[in-house]
Amino acid sequence: MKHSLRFYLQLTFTLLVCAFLIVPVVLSVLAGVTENFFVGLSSGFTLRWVAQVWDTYQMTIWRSIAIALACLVVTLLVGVPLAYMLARHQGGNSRLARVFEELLMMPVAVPGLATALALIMAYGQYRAFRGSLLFILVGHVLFTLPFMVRPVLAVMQSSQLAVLEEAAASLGAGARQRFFGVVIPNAASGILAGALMVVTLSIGEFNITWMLHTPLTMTLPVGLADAYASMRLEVGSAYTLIFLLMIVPLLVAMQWATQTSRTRVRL
Amino acid sequence: MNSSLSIKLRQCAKTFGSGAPALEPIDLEIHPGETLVLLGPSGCGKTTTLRLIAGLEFPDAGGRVLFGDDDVTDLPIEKRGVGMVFQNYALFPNMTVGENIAYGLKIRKMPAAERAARIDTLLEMVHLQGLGHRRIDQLSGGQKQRVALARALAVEPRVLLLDEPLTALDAKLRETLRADLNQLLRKLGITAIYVTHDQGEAMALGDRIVVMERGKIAQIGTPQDIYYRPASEFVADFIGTMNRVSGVTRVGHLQIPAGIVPLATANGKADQQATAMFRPEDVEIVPLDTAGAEMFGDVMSTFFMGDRTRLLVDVGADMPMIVETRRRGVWHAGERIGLRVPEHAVMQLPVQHFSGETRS
Amino acid sequence: MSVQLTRSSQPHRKRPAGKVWLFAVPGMTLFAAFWLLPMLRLVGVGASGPTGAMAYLAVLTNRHYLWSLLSTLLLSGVVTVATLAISSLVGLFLQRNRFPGKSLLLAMLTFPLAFPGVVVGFMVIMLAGRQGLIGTLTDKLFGESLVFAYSLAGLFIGYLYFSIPRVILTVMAAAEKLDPALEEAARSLGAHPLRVFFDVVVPALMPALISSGAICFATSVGAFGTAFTLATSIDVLPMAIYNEFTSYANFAMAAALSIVLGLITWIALALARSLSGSSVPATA
Repeated sequence: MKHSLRFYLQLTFTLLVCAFLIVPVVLSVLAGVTENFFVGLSSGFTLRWVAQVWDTYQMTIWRSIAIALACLVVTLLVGVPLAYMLARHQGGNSRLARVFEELLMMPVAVPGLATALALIMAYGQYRAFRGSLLFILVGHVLFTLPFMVRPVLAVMQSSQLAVLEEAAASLGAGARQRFFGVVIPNAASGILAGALMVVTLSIGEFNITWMLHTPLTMTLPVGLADAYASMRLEVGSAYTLIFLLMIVPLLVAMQWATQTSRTRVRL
Repeated sequence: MNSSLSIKLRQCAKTFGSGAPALEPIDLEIHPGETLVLLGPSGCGKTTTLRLIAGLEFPDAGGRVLFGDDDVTDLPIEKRGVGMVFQNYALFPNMTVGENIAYGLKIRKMPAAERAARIDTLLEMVHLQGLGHRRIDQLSGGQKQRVALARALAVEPRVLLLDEPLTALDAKLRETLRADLNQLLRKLGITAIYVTHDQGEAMALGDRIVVMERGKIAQIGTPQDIYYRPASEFVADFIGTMNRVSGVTRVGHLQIPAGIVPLATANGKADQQATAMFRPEDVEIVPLDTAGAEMFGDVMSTFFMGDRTRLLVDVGADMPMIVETRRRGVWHAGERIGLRVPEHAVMQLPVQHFSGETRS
Repeated sequence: MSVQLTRSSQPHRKRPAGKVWLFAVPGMTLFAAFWLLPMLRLVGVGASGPTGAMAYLAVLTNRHYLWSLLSTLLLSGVVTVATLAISSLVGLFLQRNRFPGKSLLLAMLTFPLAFPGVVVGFMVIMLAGRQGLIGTLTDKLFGESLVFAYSLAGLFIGYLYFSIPRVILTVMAAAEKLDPALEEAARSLGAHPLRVFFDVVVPALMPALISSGAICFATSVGAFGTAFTLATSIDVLPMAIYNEFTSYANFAMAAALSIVLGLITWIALALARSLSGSSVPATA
């Protein structure tokens, strides 16, 4: 296919931007498996840095996974019903619902720093709570809840689901029956999208977590900051590599989920 | 108003990436000042042909597009000097009515004072005086269409191209605007090419009609040619409604289950299986007992349409015969009636297509 | 035979209010307990310092904080403009052209969306730090290695890094909705491609550009992780807040400043939403 000069200029520019974004990632991955980054690749491949990261920061990885999963559970239990209320209260047109939506977005609109400070000011004196993973979980839930509610709400607001519910109601199903029997199964695509988003965001959350953490409740991103500041480049890179390995499957899953839901809608 | 142009397409074909050709090689000549209508079902290639003439697409290798004596095949649309009216008007939302109309003039660097005068002239031409400062989203569908027309005419194009301009409007509005459009095109005397799938529109507006099917030209002719002398089954089916009867040829007529249809047998052979066609409005209803009744049938249903009545008549064939009459009368289901069709109204296709193509 | 007519005793039968609102209770209780009330408390803390409620104006009166605010706003503004320009060009190009490897390219361009600010900071270090790519290249070519990760330029690069992927996606989504007939109409009137771009495409994309620009701005203003990792001498406002809190234990000031910061970002995002209907930023 013949392309004009304009096409190739734009392509080059795009490739440059792409390089800007990806080259450091590639370098980082290489640095994580190279003996000595300063010397370069000739110093040989090694997994010793990865091993070192594992030794030092293993707990952070487990903690991040645990918090992400717990966050998912909480946002599911809390967010899906909440989305339902927002979609159905007073036929979906209630001012109360709009106010709630606006409020829910606040922890995302406002810098994580502020949210974290507020939490510390309010609950910092409860030592046990302050020093536990629960404290961090709270921060994560506040931040990720809108990302669960939003896609689920979008699906629930679709006229398709509303009609299904009306059909169920006409056959005698009450609110709770409709919710569990009709709404949840059909909102699955939104729930899946929200779930993937929540887990990905939780694993990568830093701004809030940094303020809330204690040496005993370090998560992966917090560990990363620690490693960047105090460890040599290769260690930080290896740690980043582990992080990337964790989120890539999540991102791929999210891509796949949006693809399948899009084709379904088209049918 | 402007020297109108002839347009020629020579062996223009178009295949898109997916492989199936949208347009088989066609030859077309459009006379200066004529309104040519491209008519056909969706997918027939009429829009592709228009876009080739416009310069939005380029023909496959070997095709040539000529404006008068100039070969414009390699020129993109911005250099061809055409005026184009789009199906959904494509008015620039960030500009007012006046700015939309004057856009082409601004590109040609016409000074502001002249532009303003021209805008006023055009607004008057399309009966939208005083609306120059309106925003596009404040206009009705009919008004938008007229602004689109004014915009295309502002630059005094050599040819006007219209891509289903009335399709997005409701029926009543369409009729009114169709009449206005017709008048305007006649007055301007500009060469115009009009794409539509609505045969009523085609016959009202076109000096000549090009009926297209699956990327090929099925027939070119005046509206009367197309309607009274369709060249193929497709054209006969596509334009208006057509009755089809099959039977055995006899001298001077066709013998069908319901009776007799006058038919000058084309090749003089008798006792052949043959099919004849005629339009519903050409069938006359005659009293049962007169000699004029050549066919008989039972009324299945009637539809009173105000200015005429349509009857579906069972004539002992697979399909009922459709009869349209302007006579005031009432016919009841089950009633037996007499019918005849005059000889001049009966058509027979030169080639019998029993190719299995379905009537859509 | 009598016909029984049942009629409600009330003149207007209210639609059963239902128990739908109950579904919102767990969520909003959580929210009230852990965000709303603490935030209100924070506002109070902000006014509890030696200067009282005047602390809220300190961002304008105190030179150190004013400088911090201005540099944050300026940096965010420049990043926003640069991001919009770059992302528009790339986004439009990708939206309108088909070529092998396009989806791979797109995946690579949007991959950094999931990076927390710290990782972005690290990427900047990999590019422009002491052992960075640019440093080694310039050292080989010119004998002197160019290290700018820890300066304003590094911060700028970092902010660009997390902004570009976001805006590209928005631009592509908006470009998809553009009506091709508008551009064809402009061309039919004689406009050449560059003219069409400025007269038709840019105005049509403007709402999307403004809203994604506002999101970009808000994200940059509130960004913490990147600035933290790069530990530059330039104190953007989030860093200033952090220092007040951890180094000086000046809780009141930290609280007041973070409320001010929160207001700025919230206003920017409200603007974005009023223009587009939906905006979901993520912090960096």
